[in-house]
Amino acid sequence: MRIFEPHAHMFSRVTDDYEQMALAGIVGVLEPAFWLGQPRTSVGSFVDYFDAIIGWERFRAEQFGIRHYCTLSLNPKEANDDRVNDGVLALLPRYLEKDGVLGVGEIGFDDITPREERYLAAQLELARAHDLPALVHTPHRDKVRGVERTLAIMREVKFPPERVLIDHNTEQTVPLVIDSGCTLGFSIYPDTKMDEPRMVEILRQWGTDRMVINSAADWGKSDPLKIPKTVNLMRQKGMAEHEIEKVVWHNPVSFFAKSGRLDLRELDTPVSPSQLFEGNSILRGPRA
Amino acid sequence: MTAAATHTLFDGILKKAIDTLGAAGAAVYLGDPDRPVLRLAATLGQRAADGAPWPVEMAWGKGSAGGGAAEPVTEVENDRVMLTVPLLLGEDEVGAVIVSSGARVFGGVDTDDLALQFRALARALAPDPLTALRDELARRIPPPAREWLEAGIAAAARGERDTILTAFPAMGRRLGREPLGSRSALVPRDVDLDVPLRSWRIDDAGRVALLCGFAGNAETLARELYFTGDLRERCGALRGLAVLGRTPGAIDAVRDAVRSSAGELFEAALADNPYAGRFLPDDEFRHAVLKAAFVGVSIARVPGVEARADAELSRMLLSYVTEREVAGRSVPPDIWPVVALHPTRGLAGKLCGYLEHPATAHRAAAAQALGRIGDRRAHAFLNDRLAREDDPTVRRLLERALA
Repeated sequence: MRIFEPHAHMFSRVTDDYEQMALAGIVGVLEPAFWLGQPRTSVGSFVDYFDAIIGWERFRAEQFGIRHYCTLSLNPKEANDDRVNDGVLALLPRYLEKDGVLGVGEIGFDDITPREERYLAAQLELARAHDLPALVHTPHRDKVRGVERTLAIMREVKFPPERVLIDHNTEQTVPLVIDSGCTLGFSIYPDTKMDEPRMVEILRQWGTDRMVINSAADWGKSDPLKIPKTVNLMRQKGMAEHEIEKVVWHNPVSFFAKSGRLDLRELDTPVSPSQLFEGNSILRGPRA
Repeated sequence: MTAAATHTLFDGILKKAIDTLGAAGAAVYLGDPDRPVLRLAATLGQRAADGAPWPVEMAWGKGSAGGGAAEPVTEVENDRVMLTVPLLLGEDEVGAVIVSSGARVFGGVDTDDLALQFRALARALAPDPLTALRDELARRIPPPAREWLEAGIAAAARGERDTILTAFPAMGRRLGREPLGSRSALVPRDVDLDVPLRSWRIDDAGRVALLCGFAGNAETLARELYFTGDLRERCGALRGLAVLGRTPGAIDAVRDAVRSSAGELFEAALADNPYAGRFLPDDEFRHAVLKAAFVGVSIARVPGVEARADAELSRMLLSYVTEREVAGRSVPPDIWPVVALHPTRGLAGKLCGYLEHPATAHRAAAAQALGRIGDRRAHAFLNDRLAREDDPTVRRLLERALA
């Protein structure tokens, strides 16, 4: 089964992860810009980070046969940091035009502060200006309230819900987000957020329309194989193959295809060394 | 080029070919753009002893001199009384020069210098880079993409920098990212070199077309686009410098790319890119060549590597060879002709061993290298190999090394 991983921070992962993801059937991965754990003290650190995930990380992924895309943003946590927030916002117009940038994100709330609200609204405007969908992070604490505020701001700035993916949902937030018309993301995590059995139960209860799952693998305790592991459980619990494929392929791919920048033909073409290097005999000298 | 200038050029090259070879006559044939035939462009002297005329048209392919198949000729053909030397732009045959021997029988060695001279002729006949890129792209991208690119080129010609800044990141989405698949090369105006297109992608060609069309300082713009670009944009900017770079002003972009571990970027900076070869300082150039060998980019693809080779480069490359051999690993054969320009002690002996290597590429490279070293002690081994060698290219290189 082909899998599109719509949320993984590969910047923080090792090459073994790419190798195993590829073996498990993941052919495309989307990397949202986020917080690195260690706060950044200057805008220059964001320049380097953005350059890495629009360029170097794509190259790294392709070494393992995986297509790499990203979304870019000022993340909610660092929206509160006056050393960087305005400077990063000023960088975004240039970067949002880059190839492989399929959206604005992660944006949204962390502590639900006035600054977070302001930069969420400003970045929804940027998404509109660059004709990109938005990937919205929801807070770990006071999650339901955070989702409500997010939906309210979307309505205020009149951002179309069909172009928004609200991520890290739980049983508590599903009804709210289903009604909004947004796409729903679920992060399957080892200890926190969502786990495989609960996920299968949610899909059984609510159906598979607009449902997307991801590993949100990052620098913490997380697992980039959580989608294939959830697929296994979906099968064991008797979910139909086409329903599974809808959740792990068609839904995420069609959501990010709204950017107009996801080349489906390219995504369906396996990355091969000959594509990378236009034929080994050219790049490489004749080998003994 | 004017018709008169072309005529003078043809006349000069034919005269030189006839004088060099002691030939009876010679003729230039150029490929017809629409049909698979070669058309007579210029002649000097006799085709045959009986005074039979040069055919005005002949099948474009192997055995052109006698008329034959449609496969383009990429190597010199020699049937002993008639030489067919391809006019190559990159690896693309744009025509051929046919030399008639008269009474003399041509040997294999006769043809090497001619092939070089005729490369210069092919360069002189080449269109300007923007025209060439438009032709290459016209065959590969659909009309809407062409219109979009033409609008960008027109804006660039009006000096509209911002249009290029916006178009650069969008190029892959608009035109595609597949290999361009060209065997040809670009010939920059006012510099006698060529830039092979063999590893370019479609988006590279589009980006460089914009830079070629730019009314302002394209070198400065390429540098800026490099440092604000993603990997693909950076490759495009480096390929732009290959064609448009005239000063060391943007060499820091090359330096940055050569330092990177992204294979595609390194390759765009160094392989088939004469800008790096012209403007990297000696020490950095040597290290770039060594890194090419190390990461598996053929050093034969680094323009200027032979002109700039020195004893220090030989030492570095052979030290790398030793390291590979100690580890029981293979060595890239394209190192041999380069280190042979400044040989170290024992190199000729090592190369005699490689004359017996099972890989054709090693035998060819060792024969070429031994030809350059010119150590007469190697002749016994060269002769010994020649008696058993089946590969025509290796045979030619062995003959040349013995001449």
